Amino acid sequence: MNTEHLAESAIKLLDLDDVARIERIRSPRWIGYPKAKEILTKLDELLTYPKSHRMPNLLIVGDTNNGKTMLIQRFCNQHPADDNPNGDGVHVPVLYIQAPPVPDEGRFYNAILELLFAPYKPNDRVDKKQLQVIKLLRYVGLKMLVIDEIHHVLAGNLNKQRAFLNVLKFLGNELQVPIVAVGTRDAFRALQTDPQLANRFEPAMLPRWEMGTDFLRLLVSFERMLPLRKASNLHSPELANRLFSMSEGYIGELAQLLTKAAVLAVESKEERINENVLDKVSWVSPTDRKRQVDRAM
Amino acid sequence: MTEMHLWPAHPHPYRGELLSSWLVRLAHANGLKVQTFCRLSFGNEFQVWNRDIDRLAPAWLLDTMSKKTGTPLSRVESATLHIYKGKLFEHEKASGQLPWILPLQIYHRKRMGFGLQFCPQCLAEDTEPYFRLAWRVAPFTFCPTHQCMLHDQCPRCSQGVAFHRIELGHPELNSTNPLCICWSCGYDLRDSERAPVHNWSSHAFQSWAKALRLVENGAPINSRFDYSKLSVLHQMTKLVLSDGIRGRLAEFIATETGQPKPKKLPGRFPVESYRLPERHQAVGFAWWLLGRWPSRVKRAWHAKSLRFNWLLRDYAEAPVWYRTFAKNIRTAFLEISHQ
Repeated sequence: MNTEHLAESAIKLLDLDDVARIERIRSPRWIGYPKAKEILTKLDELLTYPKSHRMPNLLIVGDTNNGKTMLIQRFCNQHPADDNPNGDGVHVPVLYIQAPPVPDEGRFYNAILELLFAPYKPNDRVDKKQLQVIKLLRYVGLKMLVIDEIHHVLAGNLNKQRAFLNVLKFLGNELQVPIVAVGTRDAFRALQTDPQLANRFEPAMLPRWEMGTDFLRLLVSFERMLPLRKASNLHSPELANRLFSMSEGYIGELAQLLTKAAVLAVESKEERINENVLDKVSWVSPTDRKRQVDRAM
Repeated sequence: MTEMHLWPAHPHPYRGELLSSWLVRLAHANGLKVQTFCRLSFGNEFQVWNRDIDRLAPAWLLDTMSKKTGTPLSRVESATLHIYKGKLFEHEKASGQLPWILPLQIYHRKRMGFGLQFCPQCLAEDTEPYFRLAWRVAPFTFCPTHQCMLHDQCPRCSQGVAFHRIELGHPELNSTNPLCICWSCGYDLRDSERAPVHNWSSHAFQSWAKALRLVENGAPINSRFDYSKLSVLHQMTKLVLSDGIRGRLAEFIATETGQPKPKKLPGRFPVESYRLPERHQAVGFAWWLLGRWPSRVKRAWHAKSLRFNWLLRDYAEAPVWYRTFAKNIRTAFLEISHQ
């Protein structure tokens, strides 16, 4: 059997039975691509940035389903927290947290304390919780605060938005750690409302993919990771174009689509993704999905 | 809570630290007040501060503290007075006076007694001030390291030490004080006077300081020190403070050493209930009496300041060497009375 189209790790999976292979296909995987690597390098630089009263921050902007969270979780997994039972406290170099659904300072602190498994009073006064948060984050040696879904800030009136952004500024100043915010374009606009924050957050874009060499490379990377017995040649012009139009250039959509197709390829004993398999995948492109709902309304 | 997660801040106990002191430090490190921290960590149905946790050390408390700080259970246990079992006292009991252990006299969450002493110099030298197990021990009236007298109350407001009450009544307080701040008046106990120990008998004070150093180090077994000596010392202190023949034993020692008699409390009180200055004198007298064993006790008996039958009175756990001596005195007495 020719396995040149596969990476080492995928070759090992070929011996598994179909059920196990499908399970592996469906589990999330990380595909490195230039833009992502660039941002990861930036994050690493921020992590080792010397403490100063004015820390640089990063805002990762990308459309929905375009690999923001995957990217940031990849980074967080490289810097895991350590319980450190023999030391004086847990080590948390990077704290990954989702912004609360509404810009609410108290809920934000609760989420942080919850993540640290700290005993805390959910209904305590906000200023006390703030003190506790700052004390503990210092104690655990925080080096970077990562806030995902930062566009949740928009779910409140302007005053609330402003107040919440001030909290972020305060935390960054107080702890002297870089803050990495992740969100959609709307988040970018939200941060622009505060000039002080706007010039502190350097935006890093994760744009939609365009049909080009990079996209073809991405397809090759995907193919190397999917444990199929035959080569699919995803980067061949017909397939590549088709995949691009089906996923509309969102990496998340592409991953979903290829997962579905690969599962089908295993089930149908086809063992490769070709036009035939793609015809059979029940797939609605993101734009059509929106339209479907519109039609139904 | 199926999985036990460590507290984010979990400093480990210092050398010879009291469980209660460690618990308060833990609460502060986690950015909470003591009462809040305990309520959240142990639940409302488990009250921590209305009991002497250093002496009773309830299992639920030790267990949680061990699991939540990643400290072996044996290490947590050695932060309780349990480590003195078989050395300062024979058996642990849930209530009543333990020999050589100062009572806190707990009334709800108050401490009516003065059962926790401190050495201001030790506190001042700590990077983070903490309270030691040894400071709950009755004969530990001076610091063997700094040769200064301990205190058992705040020099400014005369209240006993109760560091678990530091934040009470300060709702606006948002930074936690170190443990060495008086809960009642805010005085920094590290500023207390270092009164040098008045060493009126070098031999007695040498043996005394040696015993205290052992107590400070958790009373190790392999120290070639005979802990039964401390048990006899307890009996001697009892005799020094007793009313027998109008307190003639204390009188005898006072005359022999030129030291003032310890002021007695009206009625019969165990030595552990005496305040520090009187206790210091009484224990000092007892050490003197133990010196040049057994010649001084014999002298006291010859001087009719001590009755032979007191030696073993209420003293079931007397060590063999002491019991033999007491029997010899008895025989000698019987011979004399025979003649």
